[in-house]
Amino acid sequence: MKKVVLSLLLLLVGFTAAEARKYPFDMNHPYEVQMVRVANQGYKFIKVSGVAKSVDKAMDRAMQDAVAACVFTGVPGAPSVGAVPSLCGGTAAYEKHKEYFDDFFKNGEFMHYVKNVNSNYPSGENNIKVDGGHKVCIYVLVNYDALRKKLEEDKIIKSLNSYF
Amino acid sequence: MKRLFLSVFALLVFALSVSAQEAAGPKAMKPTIMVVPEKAWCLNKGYVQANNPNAVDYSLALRDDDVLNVVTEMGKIMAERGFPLKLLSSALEALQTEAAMDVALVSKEDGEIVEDDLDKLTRVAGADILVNIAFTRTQRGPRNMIEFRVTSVDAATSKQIGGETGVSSASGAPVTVLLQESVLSFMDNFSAGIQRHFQDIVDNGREGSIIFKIASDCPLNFESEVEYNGDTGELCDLIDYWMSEHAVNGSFSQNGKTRVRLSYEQVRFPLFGKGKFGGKARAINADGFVKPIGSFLSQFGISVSTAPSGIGKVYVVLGGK
Repeated sequence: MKKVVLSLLLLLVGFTAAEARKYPFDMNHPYEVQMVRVANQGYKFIKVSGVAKSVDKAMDRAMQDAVAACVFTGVPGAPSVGAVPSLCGGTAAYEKHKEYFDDFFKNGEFMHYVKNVNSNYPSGENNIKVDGGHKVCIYVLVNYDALRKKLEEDKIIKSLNSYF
Repeated sequence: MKRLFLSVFALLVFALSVSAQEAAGPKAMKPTIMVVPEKAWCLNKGYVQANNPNAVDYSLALRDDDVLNVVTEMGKIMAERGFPLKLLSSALEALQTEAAMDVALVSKEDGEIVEDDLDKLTRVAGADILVNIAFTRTQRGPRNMIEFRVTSVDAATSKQIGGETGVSSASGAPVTVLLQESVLSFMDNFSAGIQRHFQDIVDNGREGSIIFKIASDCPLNFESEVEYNGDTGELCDLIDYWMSEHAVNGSFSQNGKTRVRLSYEQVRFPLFGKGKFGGKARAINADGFVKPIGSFLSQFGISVSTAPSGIGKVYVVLGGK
């Protein structure tokens, strides 16, 4: 009996952990993103804000937004760096491949293509309390080229070489 | 029994491979992209021919380390995307050794074809998209900055496909690093512009220019009266008719007409045409598109010779049989 209870408890913990790895995703909020500079080839250095109930979740949200902006809307430029075009050419691509993108963003696969490069926890003006919880502003590095290659391999977008 | 089984199996494998090839279909002709230093930039930098200060000396411009760095960096990125660039240096070498075609192009008296240096270079390199680059190095105290300008142009139609301007960050880093930063900052928008252009080609046909010329031995000129299917009109109207019948959605525009010269631009021609031998569909260029007009015009005692320039541009010289 003790073993059964223990197994059930472990199973419950497992489910909870798996559930914790889920990331909420929607297309209904605007992305607060801006290019900071180009990094090494294929990488984009982006400043992004995210809002969620806790600071950790807001940081996850910001990282998700940075990747989503690269995929759907593009990232606006700054005085010494050009804008980055969207990989899918617009938000219509989401409706076309809804299942694919929901899976990509909700299951956390996007995390393989983005890295939080802040050395400290966001503080001061980069971590403010708002109605929905916390709004954080962080710097991230998006592996834009790897993201493009993944979308090309998964036949979501065409590669430059595929036309001829 | 074993032999029979093997034969059936071999037949099956053969049939499957043939059907797979047919399903894949022919590939359209791949455009060639070449990066060249912008003419205005070369003139400002003094990379001009010794006998003509208004003509660019590209071989001189290629000795500029900054040009080489930019071309190399762009070439590396494009090759990674499966689209290697045509090297300007090898095109220049080909231009030096290439003379026979020049003779063919300029020997016709009335049908003379005049090319400037860039036209020649484009033709010899077979470049379909020219990417003009220009950059200026500016200093802010101890810091350097690079201002850059990139314009991609369809060589056949001289239409701009995309353009980027920008400034690198001000830094004390070596200029090579700043140039690399500049290239990285425009490459994504640059290749997105090229990709939009490719999608347009796939959707609406390739855009090209066709220039008809009359050779001295041609029995007709473009204003000569001809009769076709009971209708009478000028030879240029007949060529208009042929173009409207064969261009994708009848899309083309005539942009110049004299008695001995007729030119069309924005001619949308299909990516594939019927091959001469075997009749299978094959990838065609502007030359392949316009070639069948030869058999159409032969009924009027006119022979046709063509001289293609890249994928999208062709000179058609009408002569006597």
